[in-house]
Amino acid sequence: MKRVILSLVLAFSLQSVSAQEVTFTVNSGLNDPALQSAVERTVSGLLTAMNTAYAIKGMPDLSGVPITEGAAAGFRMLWNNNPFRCDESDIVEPVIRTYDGGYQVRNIPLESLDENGNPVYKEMVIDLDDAGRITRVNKAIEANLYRKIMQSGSEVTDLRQRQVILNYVEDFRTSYEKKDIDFLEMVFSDDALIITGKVVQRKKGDRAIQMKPEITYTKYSKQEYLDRLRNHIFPNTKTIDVSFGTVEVVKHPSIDGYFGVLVRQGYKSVFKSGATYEDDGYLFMLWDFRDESHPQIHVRTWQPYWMNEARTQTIPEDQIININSFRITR
Amino acid sequence: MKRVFCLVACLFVALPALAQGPDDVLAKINAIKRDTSFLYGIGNMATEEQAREEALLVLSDQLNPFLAQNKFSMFRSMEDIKEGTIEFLTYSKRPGQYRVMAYVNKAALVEKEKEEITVLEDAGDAVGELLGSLFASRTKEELDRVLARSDIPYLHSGQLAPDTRQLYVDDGYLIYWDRSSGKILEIMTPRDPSGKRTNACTGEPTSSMKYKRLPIHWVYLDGQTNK
Repeated sequence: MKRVILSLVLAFSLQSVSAQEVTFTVNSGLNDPALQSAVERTVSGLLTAMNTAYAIKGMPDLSGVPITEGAAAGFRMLWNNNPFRCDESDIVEPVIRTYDGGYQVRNIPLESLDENGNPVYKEMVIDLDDAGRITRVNKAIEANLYRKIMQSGSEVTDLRQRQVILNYVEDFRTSYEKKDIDFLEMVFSDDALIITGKVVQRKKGDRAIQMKPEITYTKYSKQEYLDRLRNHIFPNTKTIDVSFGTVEVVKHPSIDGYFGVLVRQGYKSVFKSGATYEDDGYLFMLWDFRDESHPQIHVRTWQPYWMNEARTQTIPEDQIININSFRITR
Repeated sequence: MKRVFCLVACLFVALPALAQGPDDVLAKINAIKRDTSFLYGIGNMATEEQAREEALLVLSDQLNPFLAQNKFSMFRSMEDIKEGTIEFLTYSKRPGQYRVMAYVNKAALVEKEKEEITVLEDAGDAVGELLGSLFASRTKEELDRVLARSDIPYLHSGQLAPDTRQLYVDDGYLIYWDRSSGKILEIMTPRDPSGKRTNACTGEPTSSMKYKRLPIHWVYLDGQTNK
């Protein structure tokens, strides 16, 4: 009797595990059948490991997945922030050739839970090398934003640069969720200008007449900003969720290699104390891609999107910081 | 004991089935993505309308170059394509997201490849009777004998070009005929509802493609002649 029950329970458990299995198929973009099946095996392996770990509330076992050490470490950091799973067992996507001779798979559906236990949808992007080994795993910019940016450049070089920029923008966004201070240390230039805006509502005179809300700005150096993240924000935060609503990439009108990236960013975090923080604003970054293997952010600014608590008034368009707001001296 | 066994067995069977859910749409989306005869675009957005719009934009990125490059295309751009040609599938199981696929079969965009049809002789009403009797016999030997006669009328005739992929003629009998020897090689029946032809003598499935690249003439006899 006991044996029968045990066997059934075991069989049931095995079936549950097999229900987590994901099959990934490449439908275009690769002409080499050996590489295609390697990419399919690798991505299927990662997604299945992820789903199995999600089901048992453990860490994904990546021992059977061809993945670089750096990519595996990044993946675990992302997992530690908030675990996720792929709710679909059959994924069919094309493979894109990347600027550095590698390959990229986008649009992998992910599901995680927010602080209230509600499911949240995100997409994953996976980079692979020519042996079908994973070299990077990130949360992806939404597919419609990616398409728009890729199509806004007409020259081939520009298109390639846009792909490089988007990859770094994805890295940058995910670095907050990964709490990857090393990446931020690397990407901000030593003399980076970091500005954060805050809405203030001043009152005038004895009768306390309310003035129009205005934004006051605080300036940080790279070290001041990173120290805040390193010593206060990251250690006290349980989960961080960064989302991009719009992304605009603008080439500097006169200086080659400089791009302004303006993003409407949603930021949500849950502190270890259980308290939550949320903001919605414009994030502007001035990227220097003159050395594509080592791009730098010279300016990072953040401005609130809403000018009042009632969320009826947005920041005036002419006040949104953009690439023309800075004079670059060489 | 039996009850426990039954309960566990039922759970074992029922739970995975329940967990699968209504994923037919997703399966269809993936089948279309795997099938190279389709062009598709997918939009994932917060509302179905936005997702549909995005899907059409992505589809146009595939469609417009296809139409521009294909010499047989019937349309210049996506705007020319009549309503109903592009189909949609909506998947709404992703949290806060609608996933819409806009897709079109490439065959619906391309003009049917027409063979150069040579009208060798107008059949006219007078030959209807003769052709009727011709098909009434339905034996290869008899047809051979009749068609070998120089005065036999036929409606249309042609030769398959080397790059022919399919012979598009309306429903009716097809006769493959080696004119130099005057021999009938095969008589094919009109298409069945699935579009397939069979050999009129043997009843075996057949295809015009086997006569590709050969100096063989086909003769098309439309449905009227078989009455």
